Amino acid sequence: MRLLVVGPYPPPSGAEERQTMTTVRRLANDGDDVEVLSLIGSAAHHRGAITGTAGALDVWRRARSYDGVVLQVGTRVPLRTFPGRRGRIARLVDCLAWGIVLRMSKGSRIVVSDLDAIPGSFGGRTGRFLWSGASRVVVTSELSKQRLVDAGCCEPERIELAVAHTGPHGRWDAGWELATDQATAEAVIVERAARDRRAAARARRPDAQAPAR
Amino acid sequence: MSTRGRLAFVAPRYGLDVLGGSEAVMREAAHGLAARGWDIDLLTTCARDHYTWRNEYEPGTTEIDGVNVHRFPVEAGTGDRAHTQIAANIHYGMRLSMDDQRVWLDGLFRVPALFHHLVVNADSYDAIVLSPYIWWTTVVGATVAPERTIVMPCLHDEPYARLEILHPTLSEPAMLWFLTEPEHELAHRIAPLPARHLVTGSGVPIPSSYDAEGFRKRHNIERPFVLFAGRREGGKGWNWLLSAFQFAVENYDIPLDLVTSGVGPIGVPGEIADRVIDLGFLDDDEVSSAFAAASAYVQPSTNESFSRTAMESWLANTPVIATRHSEVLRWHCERSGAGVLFGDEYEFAQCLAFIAGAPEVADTMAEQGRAYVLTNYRWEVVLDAMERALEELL
Repeated sequence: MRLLVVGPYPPPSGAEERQTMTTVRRLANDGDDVEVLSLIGSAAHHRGAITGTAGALDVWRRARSYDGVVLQVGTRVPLRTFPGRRGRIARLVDCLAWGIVLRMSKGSRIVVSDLDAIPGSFGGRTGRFLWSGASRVVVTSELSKQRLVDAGCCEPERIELAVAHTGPHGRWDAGWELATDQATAEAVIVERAARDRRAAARARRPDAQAPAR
Repeated sequence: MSTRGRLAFVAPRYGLDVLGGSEAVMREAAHGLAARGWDIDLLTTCARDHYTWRNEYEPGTTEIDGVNVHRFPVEAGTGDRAHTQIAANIHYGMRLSMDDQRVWLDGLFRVPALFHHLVVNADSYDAIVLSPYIWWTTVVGATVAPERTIVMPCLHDEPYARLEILHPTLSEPAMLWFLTEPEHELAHRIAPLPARHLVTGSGVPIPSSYDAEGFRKRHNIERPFVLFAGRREGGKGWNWLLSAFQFAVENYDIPLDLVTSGVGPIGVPGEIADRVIDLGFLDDDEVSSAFAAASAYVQPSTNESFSRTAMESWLANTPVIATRHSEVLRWHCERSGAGVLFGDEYEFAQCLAFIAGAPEVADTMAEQGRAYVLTNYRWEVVLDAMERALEELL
C-alpha cells in the first residue's frame, strides 16, 4: 500500500520525531510504500502545514493520491495548542477538521505513543469525533487501548497494539516506547491509588452512610 | 557473505571524477573496508558539483568493487535572496538565529530519499559513517541512529564550524574520527565531544610508479614549475595564490611557472598569463606524475582538515610550500620537516626562490616527507585504526 505518514520529522530529532521514524520503519518493514509529510525544514518527502485546519486541508488534498493516511499524533500534531479560551476554540475546530479529513481519507490510521501528550487529552465530544474518524488506531500498550475504549473514542476491534520494535538494533526504539508506557502506567496507578484512598476515607467518615439531603 | 559487520557510508558525493578530500577518504575507506570483509553500503547523491548540486548521475544501486553504491536524487535548495543573505552573514562571521541557520541548511540541498533509506534500514547497519560535518546528509543523517553513528567531521576552522545547528553533529554521535590532531583540538574548542573519539588519519594511495619525464612531454612543459592541484576556489586559496605568484614573478624574477590541474575557473591576470598553465582535470595517474615533475607543490589553503594533496606531493618526492595560517599544514610540516611555510606574499616569494635556488636541500626535505607519509598514512595503517574503533563500537 502507498501510505502518507503525517507527523513531526527530523531535524531536530526529539522524542516525537523519533516516534514518527519508528512508525515509518514499521510500515516500510511491513512492505508498505511510505512517504512522509512534515513541516518545512524537515527531512520529509513532502513539506507543508500539518497542524490545525490548514494542515487538515493540506493533508486532505494530498491524501487523495495515497491508499491511506497515517497520522502520528503528538503534542504539536494535529492540534494547535495555546492557552485560554482561544486555545479551546481552536482545539475544537481542529478536532472537527481532522475528524472530517480522517473520515474522508481511505484507510486512515492514527498512531499514538503517549495519550497524555495530547493536549486536552481524548475526552469530550469533539475529541471523540477526532479519534473515531480513523479506520484504525495504533497504540503501544494495553493500557492506552483500555483508556481509549473507556473514554468511548474507539471500539476495541479498531485498536491495534504495536509491539515494541525488535530489530537487531531495536533496543533504543523499544526502550523509548516502554519508557513512555511505563510512565503512563505509573501515572494511572498513582491516580487510581489516590482515588481509592479518597473513597476509603469517605467510607470511614461517620456520616458516610447517612442519607443525602 | 560478510561476517565482520554491515556498514553504511554516507557521503554527499561519490565518484572517481569528484574532487574533494572528505569524498576521497570516504570512498577509499569504504572500498578498503569492503576488501577486508565488511559488507558496505555507500549512500550518496546523484550530484557531482557541490555548487549546483545538480543531479548528474543516474539514481539507483550499482556494485562497484564490492561496495553497494546507492545513489539518491538531490532536491536542490531554493537559492533565493534570503538564503544568499544568510550565507553571506555566515561568511562574515555574524551571529545568526537558529531559524536562520535552519533556513541556510535546508536551502543548500536535501536528499529525502536517502534519509528515508536510512530511517527504514538503520537497524540493518552495525554502524553508520557520515562525512563531512557541514552538509545536510551528515547533519540530518546523524539523527537517525546516533548510538551507532560515526562522524568523520573533516572540520576546518571556518565560520560554518561555529554554527550551533551543526554542533549536535559533533556532540551526539557515538564516535568521531578525526584526520589530524589539529582538527581534533579544533573540535574540542567548538563543541562538547562524545567520549569516544580518536584520530584515525586518512590513508593515501601509493602510486606504483611516476612518469615525470613523460608528463613534461605530454603537456609540453619545459621550464621548472610549482604545482597547485584540486578545486580552484577562493576558499582553497586559489585567488590568493594567483596574486602572490604575480607578486613573486614581478618582484623577484622567480624562474618557476605555476601549473594547475583540477576544477574551477582559473581567472589568471593578463600579466602572468604566460606563466600559469592550466591542465584541466587529470586522472589519478597523471596527477601523480604531475606531482613528481613539479619542483614543489603549493598549498595556500587554510581550510584543511588533512591536506591529501600535500601527502601526494611528499609521496612523489616533491617538497611542499604551505601556508602557516593552516594549523593542519603547519603541524604536518613541523612533524615531517618536509615543507616550507609562508605567511604572506613576501615569504611566499622567498619560498619559491629557495626551491628554485637549492634543489638539493629541497630533495632531502622531500625524502623526509615520503617517509612521513609511508609511516603514518598508508591505508593499511588507517584501516587498522578504523577497524579497532569499529570493534570497540559494535
